[in-house]
Amino acid sequence: MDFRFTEEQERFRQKIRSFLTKELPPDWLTGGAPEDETDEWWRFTQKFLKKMGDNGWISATWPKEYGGQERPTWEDALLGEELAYIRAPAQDYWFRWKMIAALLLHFGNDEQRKQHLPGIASGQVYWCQGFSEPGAGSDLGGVQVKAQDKGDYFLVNGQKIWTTGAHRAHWCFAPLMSDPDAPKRSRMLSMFLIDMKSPGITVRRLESLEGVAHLCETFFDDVKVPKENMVGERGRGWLAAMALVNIERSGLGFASMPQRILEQFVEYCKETKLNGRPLAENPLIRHKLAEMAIEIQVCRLLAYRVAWVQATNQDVTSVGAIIKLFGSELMQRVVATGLEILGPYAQLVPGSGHARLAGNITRDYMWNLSLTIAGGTSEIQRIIIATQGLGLPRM
Amino acid sequence: MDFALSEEQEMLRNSSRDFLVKECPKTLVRQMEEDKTGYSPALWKGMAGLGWMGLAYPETYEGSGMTFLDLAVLIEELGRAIVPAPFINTVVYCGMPILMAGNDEQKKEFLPKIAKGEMIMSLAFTEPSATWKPDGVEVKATAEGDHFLISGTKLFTQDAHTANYLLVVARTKESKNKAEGITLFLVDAKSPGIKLTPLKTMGSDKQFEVVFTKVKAAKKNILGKLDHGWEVIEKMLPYGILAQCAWMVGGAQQVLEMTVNYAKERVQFGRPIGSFQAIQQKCANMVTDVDGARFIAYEAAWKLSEGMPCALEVSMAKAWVSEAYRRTCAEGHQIHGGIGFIKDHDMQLYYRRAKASELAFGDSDYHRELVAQQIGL
Repeated sequence: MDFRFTEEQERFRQKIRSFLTKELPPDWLTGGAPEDETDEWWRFTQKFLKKMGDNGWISATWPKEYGGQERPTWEDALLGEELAYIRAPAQDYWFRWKMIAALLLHFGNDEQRKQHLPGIASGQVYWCQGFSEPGAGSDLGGVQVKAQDKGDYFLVNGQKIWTTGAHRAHWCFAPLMSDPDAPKRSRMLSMFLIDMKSPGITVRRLESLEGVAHLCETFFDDVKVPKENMVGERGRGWLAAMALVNIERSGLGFASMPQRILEQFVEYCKETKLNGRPLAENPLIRHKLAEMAIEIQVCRLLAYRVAWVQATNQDVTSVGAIIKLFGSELMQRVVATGLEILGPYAQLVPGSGHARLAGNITRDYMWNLSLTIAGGTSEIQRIIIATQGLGLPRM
Repeated sequence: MDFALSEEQEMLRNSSRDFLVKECPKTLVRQMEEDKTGYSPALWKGMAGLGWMGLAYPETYEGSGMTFLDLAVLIEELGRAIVPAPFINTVVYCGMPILMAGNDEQKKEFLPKIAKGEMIMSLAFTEPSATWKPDGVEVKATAEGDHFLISGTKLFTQDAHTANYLLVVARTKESKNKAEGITLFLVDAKSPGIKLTPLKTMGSDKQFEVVFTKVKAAKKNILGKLDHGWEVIEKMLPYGILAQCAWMVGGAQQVLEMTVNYAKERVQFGRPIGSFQAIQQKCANMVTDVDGARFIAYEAAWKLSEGMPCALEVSMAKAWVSEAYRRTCAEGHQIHGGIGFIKDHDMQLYYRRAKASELAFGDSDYHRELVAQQIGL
């Protein structure tokens, strides 16, 4: 057992930190960030993502053959941890790059890799994820969007939902129903790469409660997808989707995002007085923040465990589900506790007069509802842990 | 970063688990609950034969020179088997202070005996004030010639009846700073003036009220420096706390496994209850608690073992593991249904005993306050 990072890893972390310090405005976390999904935000985000590409960080772990540096997977994990800590812009884009790159590297053919990997590495070609459908949420195997074999292309019809970022995406990766007559549900799907400029695609943005409209619905109406855009074997889309979901669930950011909030509240409680005394002297508040710190520590270790499991090529399914479950619920607890500490100021959103901590925690309180749902609900994670981790019988 | 046990630790874990499955079945645990001594000398001898007591002591004192992290791996297995023996008390609470603060003579006298299983010791620390802070130490030791006379009452003293020696925390000087003026004494447990009254505990472990009436302790039996005993206690505490954490992790792991096995076998409505999502959700919560407890305990033990500062991690571990163990036992009981709380069943042994570990050297609330101080509040 050894809970240390190597010197090399620490040096890499420092490199990321100095990059982030340089590229993000000094008041980034205290009100300086542009409002999500505004034009100003997108311009800033594009520049930021391109710089990540320029640094070689998107492709760092890939084989050299495809422009990567074959860096250890730990570096990707550390990058995710630091991006989440500082709340870097558009982390979901970065995450989807990880997923699509893994898809291409594990299941794609050489041509597909050569076509798509350079754009991903550059940080300038955006992807969305076409997994869920109105009738296929937790039950992802219930995908119904059809891909009919028409010889040299597939004809795609149907609706996807939660295609986050689809309104800006160049490409979409999606499991589609290609073989409805297969004997098993898991053999009916194939994975496709879809050019978002294809005729017949309509994107509708969905606005969520915090006022950001980046969750999307995507409609396919007689969309022609060339045959060469199928990734991996026909009828094996379910397998590929499950492998990607494991990646989606195993981020180190689950601990570092709440860590930052904890640090903000420790400062806030030392500076803020109630009835003439700093909040930090109130035993109840001390208790709450200490509990936050302890749970974050547990979360960090559960997250590092996943990174270690990945680095040592063990199965990540159950431990990934554990960190997704614990991390998402922890973030909600931490934010809810933070709002308790803010008292009546908890109501003030970013941009409001008198907002505390730039209103960010209040926005998180709205936004983080999605954490225990997106990427598999907490209940689904628990079923995965119970059946795949503990071997309990399926329903 | 490496979450795996070393090869040596794997071997230690496997061999200790095998030994305890054979030599410490639950029939023995139950028998010892009713037994007056509360431990089996045969088992104790067997444990000593395997070198367990001296595992983390230097070879000079008949130890094996292994690390505290290695010892934590062993203690996890003891907790898994809820071994009824004064192991942590003797080896960690008393042995470690002797190792850290004893003079040559004391180390040579006590440590090899502990290592060989020939010496049982008990820490006489808490009093009716029931606090782990120095101001709770009111038992007095007054100098008289070449010895001290100890008077007062200790409470919740474990294994005092089988101990050969007590390590007594006593006040030798009144001062404003309550951490000053405390002295540790190695006291022969059979000394005249010591009166033991057994307490009846939920865990059926052997705890006592120990009343000292002018008990003689020779000056040469002071451990460490006169009036500076609290410094030794403070040095011992992280070891004691993390020993308890490792013990709880072992217990929690066993409860998890028993419960998952039961959920696979128990059939209701025509199928194993483990196929019901309500049960699966609980089991997933349990394993999350147990894994979290394991890592937070081992990270702290690793830091302590490596000589790194770890006050924050130690308190975090104690706060989290104590509650995670309690939750795991409670969920385990819920899944076991009625049978789990029948005395013949093993579940209730863990549930009843978890409390003592949770309380040892401060419960979760106590350690959360220490965490608050450490994070800058």
